[in-house]
Amino acid sequence: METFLFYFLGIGLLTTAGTAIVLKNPMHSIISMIVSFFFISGLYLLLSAPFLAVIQIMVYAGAILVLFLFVIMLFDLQKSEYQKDKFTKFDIVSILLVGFGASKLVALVVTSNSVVNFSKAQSVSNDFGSVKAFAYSLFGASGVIGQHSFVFEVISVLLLAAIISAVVLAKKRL
Amino acid sequence: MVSLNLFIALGIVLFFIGLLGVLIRRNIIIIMISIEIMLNAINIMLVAFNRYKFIENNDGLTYSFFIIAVAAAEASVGLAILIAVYRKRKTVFVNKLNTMSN
Repeated sequence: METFLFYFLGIGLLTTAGTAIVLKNPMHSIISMIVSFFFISGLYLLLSAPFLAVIQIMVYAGAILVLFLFVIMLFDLQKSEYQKDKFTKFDIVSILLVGFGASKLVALVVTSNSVVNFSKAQSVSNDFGSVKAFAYSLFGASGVIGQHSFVFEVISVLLLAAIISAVVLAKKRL
Repeated sequence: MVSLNLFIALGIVLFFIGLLGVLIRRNIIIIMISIEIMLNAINIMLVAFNRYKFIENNDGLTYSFFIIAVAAAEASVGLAILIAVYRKRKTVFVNKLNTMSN
């Protein structure tokens, strides 16, 4: 059952991500990206990380990609405009190079004596990937500072800087 | 249960799809979406390594959480820059936005 779920989610994810970069209309490719984020969220559930799966849907599909959608609606691109994105000779070279690199790396990974060997998953405790485990590593417990508390504070400063710079950049006169 | 190799292979293929999107497309919105695809591929690989190799701690999950936060900041600033550029130049194609190179 888990193998079937993995292949279902993986093939769906690769298909929707592929259509997201191939489709000409940016609106269609954003919607394809949203579907692929739901597949990624299913993969997180398969890897027993339920909190991350919820965050993936709420923050990524719900906030970031909807922001992309709003920006595309602001642009009001016409069909004759975005159809101008044509393939060139350089693109064939880059497709070949990327395909070569990806096939080499995948062949390295899926062979039996690879760097990431065929380790089966051990069963984990109920705490793994839960909100409680996240809170312990982010905020600490009972007077002890958490392992990642400093990085958490740095991220909050980064988000503040991003808010301020977005407001400044979006002003009428720069 | 699926072995670790398949998750890592999936992450690698997804990362290269994102790289291909950056290389072959001229539309700057699609280039930013491809960057998001690459960040998600790294997230999948981090979570898979955490689940299979280091189950006694939560570090991979915590770092993918941080990557999501950084991606949100990056998307907001990138889109603000994009709006400012579009207001000035009226185009979203990177091959028309090359005034710095010539």
